[in-house]
Amino acid sequence: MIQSSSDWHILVVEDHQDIRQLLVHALKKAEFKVSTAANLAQANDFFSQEKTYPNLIILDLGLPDGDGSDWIAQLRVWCQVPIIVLSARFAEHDKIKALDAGADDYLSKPFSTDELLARVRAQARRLSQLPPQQAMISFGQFRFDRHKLQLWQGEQLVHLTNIEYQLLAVLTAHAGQVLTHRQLLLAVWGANFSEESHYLRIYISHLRKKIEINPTRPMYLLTEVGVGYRFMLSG
Amino acid sequence: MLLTALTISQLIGELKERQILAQQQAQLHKQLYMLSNQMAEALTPMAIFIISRQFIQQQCKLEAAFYAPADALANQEISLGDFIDNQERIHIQQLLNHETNNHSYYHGYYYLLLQGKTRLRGVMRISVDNTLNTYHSLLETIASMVAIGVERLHYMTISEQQTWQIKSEQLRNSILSAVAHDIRTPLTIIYGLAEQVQHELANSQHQQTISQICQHSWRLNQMVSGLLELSKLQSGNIQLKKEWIPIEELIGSALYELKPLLNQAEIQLPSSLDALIYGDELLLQRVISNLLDNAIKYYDGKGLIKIKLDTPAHLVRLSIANTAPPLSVEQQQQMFVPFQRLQQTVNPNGMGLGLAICQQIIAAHQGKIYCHCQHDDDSQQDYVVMSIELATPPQPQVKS
Repeated sequence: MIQSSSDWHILVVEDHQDIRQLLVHALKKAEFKVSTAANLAQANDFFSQEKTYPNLIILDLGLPDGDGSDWIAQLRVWCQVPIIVLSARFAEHDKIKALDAGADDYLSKPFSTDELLARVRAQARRLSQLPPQQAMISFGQFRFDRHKLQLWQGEQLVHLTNIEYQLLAVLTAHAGQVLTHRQLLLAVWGANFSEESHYLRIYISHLRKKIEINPTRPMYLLTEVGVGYRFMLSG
Repeated sequence: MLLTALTISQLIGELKERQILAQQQAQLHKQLYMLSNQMAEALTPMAIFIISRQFIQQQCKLEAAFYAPADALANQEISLGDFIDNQERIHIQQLLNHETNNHSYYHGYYYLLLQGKTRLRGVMRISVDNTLNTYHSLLETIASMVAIGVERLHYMTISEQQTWQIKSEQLRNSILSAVAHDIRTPLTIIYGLAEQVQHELANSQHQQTISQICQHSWRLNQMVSGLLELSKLQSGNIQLKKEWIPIEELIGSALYELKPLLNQAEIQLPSSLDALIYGDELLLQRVISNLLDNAIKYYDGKGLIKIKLDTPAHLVRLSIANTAPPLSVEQQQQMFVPFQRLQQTVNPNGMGLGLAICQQIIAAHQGKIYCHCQHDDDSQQDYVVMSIELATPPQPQVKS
């Protein structure tokens, strides 16, 4: 298990030299070990040897030698390394494609160093907390038993419908991560509903009424506009 | 015998007369044909008037004059001949407005309307003479030829103007998006570097300078993004990803985006935000956050920012109101023009693209966006209200 950031090896895949340097500088400053690749071909080399294998990948979506989303999908077949994609603002289609292919998070250019490090650390935290798995997860005043499907607000049992339980379970299992509409629909409703986004939106709004103090200004169940949702345990 | 001879000579005489008449008619038709050819070659309405006046002089020995008002042709008043006094102008205007029907004769002149296919294009004036009746139908023919000719030129001008307008708009948009795109990468780098320096020189005396570089490069980035977005919307090939979205979620996302500004004003939400709206989530969220951002920017510091939701049949109307001095009707319309900003803005960030972007987005949704002012009698305060209206198709059923 990885103990501190200096044990972390991050691979930055970005074709633009200055942006690459910017990323490297910020990450090194935060004491991560950083390697770089200017395209997908160079990135592939890092997977050939055990010692160069990265713990996290930051991948630009506008690389010259191939589609980043296809590359992610291919990698995801056998490898669960966290991937954060970089994309231009308003390129929501590219973002969604990459997230559906298996990317864990995204950053829109221009980004601040704080934003970058927060995203990287969130992935690091998620991975280091992975084993052992606990059924009970807590956020704010709530405790959620994912195995028994019970949600407690303090000592009070909150009534959720079956779908609301499923939804909350999937969201909390990927806390901190972005889940696209499609991913959530597939996980909760199944393949026949993957385009019925209004189901998801309506159930999300029901769920918010039960777990948020002010459903219009949610603290836990955040909207990623045009992309999907993100559950924040820390509120 | 004599009777027969007389009859025959009379018949011959009549025949000759008819022959002459027929020759004259043929000659006239030839002339008319040539006139129409000349008209077809004419490049301006004035040229058509001149050709026609000459023709009438030669063929009918009558004096003709022409007048086309500014609103009949591409905003240009054209007249040939002396239209002297104002009274005659008024008379002509009445003729053109169909206010007088049977006053074709006026002060020794006879007026014929230049009736085009779609509308009246002006009048032809003939000085009254005793030959007028002989040529009446010929003059009518000429008047309608002139009208058609002038109208043809008018449409040519308009279509040419439109073609140019479309071409220059396309060029402008492609330049804009290329430039905006190329500017963004260096801006990302400038922002990133400035931010790094800011972190590294946390205790330096240049701290303020560096943080200004950060702020301004960020703002520049926002502006470039706005330009890019507007040019993308204006190019017209935007594809909407229409979905059913709870209004509460849209407003929630807008509030989340504007979090840093929210301590500047109190925002009052309606008691229920349960309606669904049908549209593109990203774009509609953009509209709501732009409107809220404006409300906060132009808010006069007193009272509230009020969000109101009405859902009459098949419609969603969302209004965002902020206390502010009343605006003139002209100001209310002007604010949707790109690069226009109200003068009393205290906080002149941005370029005034926000509302232009909103208008494009709402237009793409076939909805309405408008501004009006309201006086609240209870609190004695003036509000500026921005409203958007979107039609809602029948809502989908959701099984539980």
